[in-house]
Amino acid sequence: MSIATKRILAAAMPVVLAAVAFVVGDAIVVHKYLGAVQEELVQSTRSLRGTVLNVRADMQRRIKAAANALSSSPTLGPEAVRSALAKHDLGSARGWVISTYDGAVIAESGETLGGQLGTRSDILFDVSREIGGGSDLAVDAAGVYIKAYGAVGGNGSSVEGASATDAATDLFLGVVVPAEPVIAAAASDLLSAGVGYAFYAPGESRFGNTGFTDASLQRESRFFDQITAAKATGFQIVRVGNKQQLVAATPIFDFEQWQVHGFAMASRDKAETMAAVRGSRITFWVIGVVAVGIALLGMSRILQLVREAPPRVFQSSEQRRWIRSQMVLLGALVIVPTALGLGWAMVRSNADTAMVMSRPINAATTVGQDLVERLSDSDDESLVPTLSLMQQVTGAHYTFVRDDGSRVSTLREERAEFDVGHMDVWSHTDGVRSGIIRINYVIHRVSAIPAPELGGELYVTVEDTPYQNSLASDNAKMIAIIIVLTLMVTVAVWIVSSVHRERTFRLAIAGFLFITPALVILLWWAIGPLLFSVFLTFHRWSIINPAKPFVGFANYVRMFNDRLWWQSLVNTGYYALHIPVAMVVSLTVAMAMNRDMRGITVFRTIYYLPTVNSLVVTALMWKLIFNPEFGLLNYLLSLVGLPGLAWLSHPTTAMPSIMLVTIWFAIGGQMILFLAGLKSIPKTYYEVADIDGTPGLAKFWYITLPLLRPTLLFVLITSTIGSFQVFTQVYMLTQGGPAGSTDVAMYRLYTEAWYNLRMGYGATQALTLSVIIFIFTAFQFRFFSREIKYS
Amino acid sequence: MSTSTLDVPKETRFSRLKDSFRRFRARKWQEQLAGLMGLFFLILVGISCLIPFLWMASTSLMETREVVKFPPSLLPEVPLWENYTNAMTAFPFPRFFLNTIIMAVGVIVGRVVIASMAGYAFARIDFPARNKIFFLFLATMMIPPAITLIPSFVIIASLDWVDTYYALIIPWLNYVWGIFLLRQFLSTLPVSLEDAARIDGAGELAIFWRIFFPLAKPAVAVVIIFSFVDVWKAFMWPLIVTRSMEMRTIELGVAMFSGAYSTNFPYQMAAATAVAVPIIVIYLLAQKYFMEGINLTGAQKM
Repeated sequence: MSIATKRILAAAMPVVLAAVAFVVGDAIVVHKYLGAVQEELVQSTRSLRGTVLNVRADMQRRIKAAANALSSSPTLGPEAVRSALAKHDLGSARGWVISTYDGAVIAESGETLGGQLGTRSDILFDVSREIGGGSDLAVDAAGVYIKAYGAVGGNGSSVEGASATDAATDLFLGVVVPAEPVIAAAASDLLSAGVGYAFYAPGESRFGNTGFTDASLQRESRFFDQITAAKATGFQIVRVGNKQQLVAATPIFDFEQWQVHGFAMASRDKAETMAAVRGSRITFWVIGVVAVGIALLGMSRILQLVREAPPRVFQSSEQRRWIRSQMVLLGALVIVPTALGLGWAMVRSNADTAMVMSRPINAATTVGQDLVERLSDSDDESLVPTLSLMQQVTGAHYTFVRDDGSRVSTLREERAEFDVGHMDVWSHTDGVRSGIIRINYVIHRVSAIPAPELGGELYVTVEDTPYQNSLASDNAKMIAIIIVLTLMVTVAVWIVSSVHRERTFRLAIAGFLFITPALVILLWWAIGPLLFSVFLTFHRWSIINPAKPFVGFANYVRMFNDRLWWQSLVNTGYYALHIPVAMVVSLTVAMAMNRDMRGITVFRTIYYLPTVNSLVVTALMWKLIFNPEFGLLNYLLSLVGLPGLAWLSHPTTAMPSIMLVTIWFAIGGQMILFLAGLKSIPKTYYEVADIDGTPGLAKFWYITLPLLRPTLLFVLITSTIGSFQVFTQVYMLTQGGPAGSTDVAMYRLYTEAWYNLRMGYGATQALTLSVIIFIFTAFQFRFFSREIKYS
Repeated sequence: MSTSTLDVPKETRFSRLKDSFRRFRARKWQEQLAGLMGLFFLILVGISCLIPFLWMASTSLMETREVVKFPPSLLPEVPLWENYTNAMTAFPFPRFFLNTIIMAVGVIVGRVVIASMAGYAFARIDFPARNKIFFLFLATMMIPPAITLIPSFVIIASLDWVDTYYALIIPWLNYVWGIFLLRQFLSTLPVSLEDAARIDGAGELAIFWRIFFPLAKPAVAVVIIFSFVDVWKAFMWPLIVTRSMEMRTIELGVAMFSGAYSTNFPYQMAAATAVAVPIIVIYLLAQKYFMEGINLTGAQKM
């Protein structure tokens, strides 16, 4: 490859990268918006399902009222029923029936579902008998309807055509009402916003108002089969005719949530959706093309200068500086507009999606308003099941706050106690306040619906997590693009400016290629996690909960008040006290071994065996040795006439037992280091001391110890670092017990992170532990640098 | 070096023994006593190092009723070898071994490739910012595993790698100690080696692969041995990144087995012995490399 080619390649790199950055950036903008639209469509379909539930419940309430009215009616003829129905806005009923609890029909009129209504073949009828009423959706060839039952109650009124025994039993009123007009009236807001429904009757008939042809739905039958099977909302891009549609569908089930009757569907034309972000994208691309164009111009100018001058010209440092400055300028020409363009697209698309994302809460609010109306004459007891059913159906959470401050909520535990005073109100329409609120740090969209008749306010909350997550990840991608671009441009600038030095260039390429795998792994699993852990300490982070909110210093505050954590640190410090003991033993061993004797290597092999043995096996064998009833240690104690100890099962002896195990396997490693240290002490020192007649202890004190100081310190500090992170022994032998006496720091944070699922808090503890460890490591490095001065 | 005795011819060794005996005779009685006491101490420590192992092996052949006796019996009345087959079949131990082997092969191959390449670059290629980058590598050795544990797990979880071999292998490829070892080793080789090859027109990759990689065998052997021991003894990381029985490594397998059979000590000890034997055999065969690894870096493997 000629130098000129390399130059062109290197200089073209920023331009190509900028182009790639814009393509990726554009894809992110579109993806982000489509994601928000998906979220909106999904929530809208759920809200429609909520409306259907509201309609059904309202129907049930009215039929109950009509049945009640019948209870006090002197006769139970068709006339009485008709007038009772008319009085409760049920004039549109397709048919009704009065039957006994045994399912014997007493009177009926109009369509009664082929005689099924009010007989025991209907499961709902059975259920209604138990709880005094019920309602459900049903579909047959004639259409969609709501059927509802109400107990007429035990009255003494005479019944036309009924025997005396029948009259003594309680009676049931069953009514069938066409559903479509009722749903259309209740969900007019949603329907006009493009949400639709489709119900399926057995056979092929279909009722609904979605714009889909049967053929296009047929083609997507797998999609509907899937969401029917999963009973969950689905989202898909469907081709209808020659247009692509974004479709979200939520199954609508019967009252048992068993059979799927149909779907609430929301669709949006993909082309129309894209049109909404077209303005943003065009501006974005104009910035991009201009940036790349300017960069191309600048590059061609520099290349021209380079081509005109022979390669040797660029050997003076002044010219090198010139070409470097030109390249930096060129890089800036690419990076600055690209970064600005991406940043602008980021802000702009955040605003676009924020607008889309305000719609789901509006849909949920409409459902909430219906709910308040429906609840207005409902008793307190039914509030909890009603709200939780509504939560299941719509996915939004409902909290009813009474004027006296007490509340009923579908949110659990401390989340239900959110501070309504901290609601950030964005809009105020028809007495409904809408905005955002933080519930236990997680951002929620919220609407407060006044319910004066119930004596309080209903708060509807929709968690913003999916939206926040996609926003965060897309923004992170944009920032990553800018960082990568900057890096690559820096590399390109460096390549072009040092391209004349063939050897440096070649070495640099080779060197970086060789360390790239190691560097990637290092960034991925050491430096990255280190930075990430600092990030984690400021977040609440559970693996299973998608919401990972920023909590400020809450984790640190929790840690300072966490007695278990401080106790575990104390335990860890106590555990570390085994180190001097182990060192004394291993130094003694090393000194006894430091002699010219045959077979000494056999001892070395044996001593190192416990160190190389796996910790789990070590723990298992010692668990047996520690056994209070038949263990070896208590046997040895009994041989010398001492009473046995409880070892691992008593709070006083558990930690010393673990320390004993650690000493047992740590001696080998320490001994080898000490032995190497002792062998490096010149023999002449001792010989001189012998001539002087120095006693053995003095030789040890004045020669061995000072000269062994580096090894001693090294062993002391590495052992301390290891001891602060002790885990396996504790996990295997005591699991932190008994009574928390062996609950060391690593075991504590393991429990927090993996049992209590508090990754953020666990990371805070890990960081604190690491700072303590770092202080020791710093000692170690300071000590090493001092040693280098000696030699 | 402590390993030098291995290379001494037999006659010399014998004469040295005679020598040491003569020297022992020549000493004063106090010194003789001190020497004997030292030997006694060494034997005592040696016994206490070995007893748990022997105890484990002996218990693994007993019946449960022999174990729970007091005073404890030292040897089994009749060695029950079926304890081993029973224990190995009660839990999927072959699968645990296989998992550990797969993890070990992946980690060793990855570490050797990555560490030898990086070590070669740091030792032999004079590229810009080399020492700064090397210092960065060394500095990361100060990062305690405690702090990277949780974030690494979160990364694994977000990659959907929980319960896969990726999770067991890839984070373990970060091995600065090995890079350091290979760099130190390769720096000691003479410059003439690569100069000759360069004159012949060999590329950087060819020089690395044909000349330095074969020469680095002793250091690579240390990396392999220590990596194998690392993987074999791995406990906490496999504990948090594996969930299903099929993905457990041998250490976890034994730990779980001992939990499930917490009262059946012979089974526990049989499983423990089966896990301890391979690593002990490898240690005995490759002892030289263990000592070299420790002495080369002074780093104590916990």
